[in-house]
Amino acid sequence: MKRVKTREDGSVTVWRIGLRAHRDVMARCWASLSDSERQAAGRYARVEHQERYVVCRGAIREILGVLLGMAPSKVPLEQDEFGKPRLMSGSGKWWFNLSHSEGLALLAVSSAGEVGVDVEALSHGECGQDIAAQWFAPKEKDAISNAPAAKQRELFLFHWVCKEAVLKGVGRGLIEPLHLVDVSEIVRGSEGFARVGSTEWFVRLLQPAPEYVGAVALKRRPAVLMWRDYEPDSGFGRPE
Amino acid sequence: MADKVSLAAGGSELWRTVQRLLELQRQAPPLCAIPRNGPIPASFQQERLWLLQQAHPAGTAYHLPTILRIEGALSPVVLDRSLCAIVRRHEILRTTLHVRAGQLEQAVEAPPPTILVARDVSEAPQDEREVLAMACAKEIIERPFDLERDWPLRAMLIRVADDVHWLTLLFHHIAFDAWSEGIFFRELAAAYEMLCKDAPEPLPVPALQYGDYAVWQRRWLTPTVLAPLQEYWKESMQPAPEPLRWPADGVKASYSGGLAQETNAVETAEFRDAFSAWARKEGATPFVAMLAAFLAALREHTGQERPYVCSPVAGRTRPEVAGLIGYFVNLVLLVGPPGHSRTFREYLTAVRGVVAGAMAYQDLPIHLLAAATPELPSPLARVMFSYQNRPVKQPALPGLSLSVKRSAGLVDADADLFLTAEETREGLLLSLQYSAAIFARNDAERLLDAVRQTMRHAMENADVVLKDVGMAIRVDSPGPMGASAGGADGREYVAPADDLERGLADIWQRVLNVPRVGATDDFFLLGGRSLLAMRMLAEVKRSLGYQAEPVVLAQARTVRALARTLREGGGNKSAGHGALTCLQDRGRGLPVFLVPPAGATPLQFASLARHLAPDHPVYGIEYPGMDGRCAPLPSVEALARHHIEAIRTVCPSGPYVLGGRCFGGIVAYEMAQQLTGAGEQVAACVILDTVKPPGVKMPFWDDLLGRIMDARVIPNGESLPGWRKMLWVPQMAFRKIWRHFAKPLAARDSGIPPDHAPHVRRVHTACEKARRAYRPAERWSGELDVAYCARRPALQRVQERWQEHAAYAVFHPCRGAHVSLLDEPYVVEVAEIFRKRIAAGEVGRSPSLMRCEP
Repeated sequence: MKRVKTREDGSVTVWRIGLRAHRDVMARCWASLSDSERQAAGRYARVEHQERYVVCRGAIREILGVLLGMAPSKVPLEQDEFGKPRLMSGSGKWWFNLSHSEGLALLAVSSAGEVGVDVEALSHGECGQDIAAQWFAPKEKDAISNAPAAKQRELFLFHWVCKEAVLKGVGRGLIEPLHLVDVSEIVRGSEGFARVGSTEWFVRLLQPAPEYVGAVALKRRPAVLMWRDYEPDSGFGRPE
Repeated sequence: MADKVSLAAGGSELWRTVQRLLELQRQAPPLCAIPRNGPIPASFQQERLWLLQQAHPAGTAYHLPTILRIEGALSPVVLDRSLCAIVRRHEILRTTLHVRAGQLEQAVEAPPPTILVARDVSEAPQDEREVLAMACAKEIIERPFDLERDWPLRAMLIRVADDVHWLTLLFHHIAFDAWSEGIFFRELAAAYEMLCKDAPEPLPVPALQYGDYAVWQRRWLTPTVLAPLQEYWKESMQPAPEPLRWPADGVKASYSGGLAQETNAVETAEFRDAFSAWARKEGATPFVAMLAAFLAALREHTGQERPYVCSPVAGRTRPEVAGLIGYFVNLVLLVGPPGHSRTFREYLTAVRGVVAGAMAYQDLPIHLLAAATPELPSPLARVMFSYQNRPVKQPALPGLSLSVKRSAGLVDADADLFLTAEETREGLLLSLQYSAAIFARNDAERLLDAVRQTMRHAMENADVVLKDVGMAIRVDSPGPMGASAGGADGREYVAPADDLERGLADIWQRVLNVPRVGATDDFFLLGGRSLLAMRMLAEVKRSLGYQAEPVVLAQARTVRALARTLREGGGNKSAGHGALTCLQDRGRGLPVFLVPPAGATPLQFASLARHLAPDHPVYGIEYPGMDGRCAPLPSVEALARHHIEAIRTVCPSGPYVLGGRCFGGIVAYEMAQQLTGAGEQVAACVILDTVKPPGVKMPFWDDLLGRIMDARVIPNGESLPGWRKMLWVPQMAFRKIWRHFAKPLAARDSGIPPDHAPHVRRVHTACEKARRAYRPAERWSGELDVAYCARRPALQRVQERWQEHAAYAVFHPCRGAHVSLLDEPYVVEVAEIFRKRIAAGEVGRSPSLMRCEP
């Protein structure tokens, strides 16, 4: 894994994490987990969930370790009220958010404030028309139904990941109040602003890999948006 | 016969056999260097791989790639010379194979002047370098071998940056094995170090070469010696096992060019130790115990009685070959004993016998076994198994930082399946490599799951009959594993009770991609996430005709609960309310319902919801008309009625916990009135900084002063420095004028979609009118909690007017400003107000009454 210096001036780095990792990567991630994380990993019945958990936690620890200047196993991670990892307060001004789908995970790390990220495999765009018809704003519905049939699934997912990225930035534990965030302008321009309450969130669409779409949301437009690969040779796999 | 083997395992028969073999070994000729005056025969192992290679000349199944990322000041010249030193030292690395007169022979060629091929990608743009480097590496990794001409080692050094190189090594298995790798890297480090110091002859010529071993092997393994070995194997194989058939397999051959992919799992150190201890208690090694679990899982997966695996053995029983690079590994065939009516314990004992016999007779090269026993299925090595309890040493070079880059999918699989268990310091690493031409990733993952489950079932109760273990594995739902994995979350499987539940379970099964869904399994614990939840609800509408809002999933997370909610939706077949949003779904405490300010979204309560987690679910209620689909409601009473209808879909009866911010506080108050009037219990009603209680008209200058005081604080609560304070008031005033006269432009500035801005404004105006017209009919009989910003003393007097509207009112001065009251860190205090009130209600006493006590 490369060592990168991230400037602390409103930049965000999006790390691409392949979840079909080689056993050496698994072993290295496993070695950096805390005892409670290992206990949690040991309880997974399905190996793909376990692999995802171990590799994601290991990646978070390695990446934050570089930013904080400490070994991965020493990074002070704790669980929040929803079971998601976060840095213990006082450890440094870094915010991060993780999202995964099929064989790919995206980890967005920012020094500028809360960040939200979402990724979806294209194969998950089924029923997009129905979901949009019931719960999307009129402009979004029109954008999707006016698109050629081959592109509708992708367009639905573009809308979806933008909404999700904002909602994840706002807070965890939401059961999808989709209609509260209108992202039609953002999808049209591949980036834009969405207003939530009194905050404006900057949202940018991402194309992390073939067959996947993603979006990242921040409280203000970042000076720099960087892409990095965690273990570039880990496969993303074609979503099956 | 298998039974004969199990007797041998425990008895003196095995000891006699071992003694006999030791005898034979003692009779072996000495292993020493032979004069090189002619061609040397190939070893049995080389013969075997030669045959396999000839069967698939373009295949890469026997390519062993290693890519080392080297950071630091590497000297490519010294590296090249080090590699040449090793190739000079080990003849096998410059050996080619030829068939002469029907015999396979090896010919050693002269040492090379140079070995490394160099590439440079450092000129390319930063992002592309790794991709280009991998493409270069693949050149040497994927190119097929012609063993008559090519040497078994290829090396390429790729310069990725000034101080970063990739050393790509490709060995052909015919000259290399796992043991050889340790030797190779040790010698590479030694040679590099010495050549850096310009030592003349870095590595001495060894006493023995692989060729000497091959000659010796032919002299030792004569038909006389081989006969008892072959006899043992033939007998232990009676009857011969059936060829392995994978489900839905047709007639797929292995080695059909499938890339080697892998799926991995880890076990904690506690589990590893517990498993070892259990194995030992049953009289077996961890190798045997895990093999038994693997065979049992294969039995289940294939439906065949006696699956068979091969296990690699190092093959270096003679100490003289310990320092040689070369292919010494032999495979032993391990056939699963019959297990039909056996308990796991009995099966384990039988497997132990099989392993003991196999290890005792491991000297028979496996392809000779295959040749001598035509009734055995061919090829034999379709499934492999190995257990490593010694950590593998990482390669290192002095003064440089090395990391091994490994990927799956680079070369072909040499077997259909290969299960490796490796003990590490942190626990146990299980790796199932599979041929992508035969297995879908899902199948391989399920098989690895099955192995882990079998281990756990066996540890829990080894007296269970094998077929029951298999059944238990098959029907286990994938939830978190406890000691006895039942349904998800450790609960038992409960079958759906009626058509609606069955329909839902069906949809969940499809959407979540799990084999079986019980009526009491939690959607999110089964792996459900938000997009899957929406798909599931869309499917429910399409197939079952029920319109359910996502908010119902906050409370109804199982098939049974969801079915109940859908049925209660009544004749119009809809459940949940579109205006209700779940901000936080965890907790068994009372749910909290929050009304936002006029024309605002409930998402502003997200921080508050976070602080009420994990005890209280939190919902927000949206104003009708915000998206323009209907007209805004004109009065506070109508709004309260609408909101109560919404919350009743989630919470049909009290006690209710209400809260409202600004204008929302007035609505919440009216909701409390209506609910109490309907006989429901209202556990709490919290007013969050409602600047104007009902019936209050603030004098203009009071209002302006308040805004100026507020203006000193920017949204996140920090005070503006002095000079900006001066600019803020005119800035605010200008904005108000601007907004009033330039509505469409203002809307674009503020980020509200231009479409929505008129609707939001209409809602805002309607709320303003409603507020002015609102006069509560009577005092509310409950106890109000009024939170307000303490920065504005003028406001405190106004807030005390709330006392006119309720029997009791408790005042909570809060830190923060009007706009930042619910932001961090002030929101913690607000969450405390809710918690304390709810807790007091549960105890049955209220804090203010306590204050009145003498």
